[in-house]
Amino acid sequence: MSVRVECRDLSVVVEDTALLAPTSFCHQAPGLIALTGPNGSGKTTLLKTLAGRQLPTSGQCLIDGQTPYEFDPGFRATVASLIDTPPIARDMTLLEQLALVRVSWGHDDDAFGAAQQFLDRLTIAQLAERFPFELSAGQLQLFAVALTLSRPSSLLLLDEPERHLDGERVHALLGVVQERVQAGALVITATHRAELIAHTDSQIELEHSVSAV
Amino acid sequence: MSSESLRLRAARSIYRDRVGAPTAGDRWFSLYLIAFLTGWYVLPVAYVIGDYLDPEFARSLTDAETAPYVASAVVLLGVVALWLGRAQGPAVLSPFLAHTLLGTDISRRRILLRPTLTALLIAAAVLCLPAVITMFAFTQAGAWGWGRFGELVIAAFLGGLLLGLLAFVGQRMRLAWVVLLTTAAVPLGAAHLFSPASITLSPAGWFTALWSAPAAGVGTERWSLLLLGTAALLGLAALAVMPALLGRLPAHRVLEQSRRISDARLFTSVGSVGDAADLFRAKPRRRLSGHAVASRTGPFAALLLGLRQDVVTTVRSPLSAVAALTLMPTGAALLTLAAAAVGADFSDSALIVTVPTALLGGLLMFIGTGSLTEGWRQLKRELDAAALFGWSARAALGRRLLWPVTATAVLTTLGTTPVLILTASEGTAGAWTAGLALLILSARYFQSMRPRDIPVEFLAPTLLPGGMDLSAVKIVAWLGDGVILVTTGVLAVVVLPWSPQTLAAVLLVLVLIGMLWGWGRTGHSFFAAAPRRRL
Repeated sequence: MSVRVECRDLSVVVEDTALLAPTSFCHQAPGLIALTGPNGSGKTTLLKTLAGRQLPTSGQCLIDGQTPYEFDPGFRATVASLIDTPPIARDMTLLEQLALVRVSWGHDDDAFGAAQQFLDRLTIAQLAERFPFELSAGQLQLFAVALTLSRPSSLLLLDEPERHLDGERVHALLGVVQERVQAGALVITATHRAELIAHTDSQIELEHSVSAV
Repeated sequence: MSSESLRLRAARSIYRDRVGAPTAGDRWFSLYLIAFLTGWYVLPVAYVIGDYLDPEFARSLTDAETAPYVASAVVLLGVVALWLGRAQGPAVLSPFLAHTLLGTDISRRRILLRPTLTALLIAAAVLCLPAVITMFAFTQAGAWGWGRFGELVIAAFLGGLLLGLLAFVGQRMRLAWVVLLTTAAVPLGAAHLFSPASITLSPAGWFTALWSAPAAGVGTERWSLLLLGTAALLGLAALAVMPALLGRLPAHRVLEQSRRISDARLFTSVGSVGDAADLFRAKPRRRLSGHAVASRTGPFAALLLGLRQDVVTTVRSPLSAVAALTLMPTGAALLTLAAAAVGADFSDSALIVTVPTALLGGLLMFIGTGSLTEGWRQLKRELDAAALFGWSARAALGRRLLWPVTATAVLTTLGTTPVLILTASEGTAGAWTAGLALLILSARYFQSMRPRDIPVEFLAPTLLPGGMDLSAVKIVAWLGDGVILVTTGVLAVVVLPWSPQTLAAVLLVLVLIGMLWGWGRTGHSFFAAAPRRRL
């Protein structure tokens, strides 16, 4: 479970625009890493590259020595990401959706009970039988986090998971993320919130904003 | 059962038993509706067409002479399926399931096989329906016996499966391969057209051999059916057996298409067909916005700027531009062909060919104008802001007219001229096509100016004395207003050629309806002057 992420001069250029300036770092699990930088500095692009959804223009990105490759089941088992808002089923309750995620990874021992407990950890247990359209923006964000964290992973990529959340909910979020780190995972989270950065083990600072090449 | 299968089965079980899942009653009601519509509307209409069709004429459409044309048309259908699959292929799930399951380490082939096969079977059944109606009418007219009808229905279903498999190829392969396959289809279609012997070499030809079996010889139809069935089965088996076919389908592509079809279904279910159609509009691919800004001054500056903006809008969505470049000339060619075939006399027995050909041509041109009239979609907002620019409302419209009119004229000429030359037709057919092109632009303008939301009063019941509710007719008419205008004009060209003056008057009235009613929908006065500048 000790995953290692290494980037060497990784950059992404789309048409004539540099979305990510050459970036290098190396981190080993377990750990909670903050990915910081101004808007447009390439945080989301970096996360997408690590998740195998964006090809680098130059440089190298390795996860356990392998290039991210979505057709490799091992890679899919290793990496979980919350980068865009995930698709949510309109006609399923929150509990059903979380239970489905759990059983799809083979955790079918009391999937509904475990899902209920997880919602409780994120302070939204009372919404378990609700449909997504009945939730506020903050509650939806917590549910998206719950969907992502309900599946196992050694490398967790989060893009500003604290958006729409108040201080208390950010604290709850931090709790479940830290639990995942204690279990041996490496978590890389893009964030602008100082209270979240303060609890991280390390920081990747992206300084350059998007520029024409 | 493997661990992966058990996990997948458990996930599907939760999804199937979800709170908002359709009930058995919902499914039975859908089946009841299909059976009711087929029994009460579709079959009687097919029967009437068959009864109306001249037997000699029906036989002439199924003899050896037509075989090359049928085979080439089926090849063309295959190319269309290939490209449709690029936009919407059969390998889709609900967006939530696609995101959740394709992110797991379960084999993608295992996840996608069942939904893909189901989608292929449904698509084949849906495609089979118009084929069954057509063949029912031909059988009724005596083109062949009822035994052949059964064989042709099976052939249509198998052909539908093969077209669905081609759509999967379009979804699965890279763009370069799709282009390569399209290029390869050109010599195949040409071979079928110019060398009838080649018909035995492709599925398109096997279907044709069934259609024109008397010409191909007794017994050929059985072999053709067997070959078609074998090809379809091999295609389906390949999906199940070759892991790379479904296993290497990129998750983002499946997710994007799953989202789109799911949203389109939702929009359609609440009557927002326009919003559903917008989902399939090609996205801009090139950043050319900078070229749409100009600082030129002079009497024609606004006109030229509008032209430049419209050209940039068309060019930055290459897929839409290619659609316009292919659909407009093809549609114009079909319209000219139909108008030339009708000639100066009304021929009722030819309607079975001229009406579908002309309607298809009109619809292709109407769809093709979508890419050329993107500016009209923005026009309503521009009209509201016209005074800020110092324009009158009619000037705002004028600057958005040049590109659609010019491009439509050029593309229509490109489609019409070769047909006129090849068929040695009179120029009248070209003139009617030009008139229809004008009507199609007018209909597009009429539709573009339509308010986004359906008027609430349209949803109110309109009860006839017998208790029948006509509100659905109003809604359908509102949603398809542009198409109705085009269809009316096309039908007029097909059934009124014996009276050119009447036909010209009908087309003129339809064009005026489109233009004037369309302008009325904007809520602006055509005669209001531009605001004066303060010196």
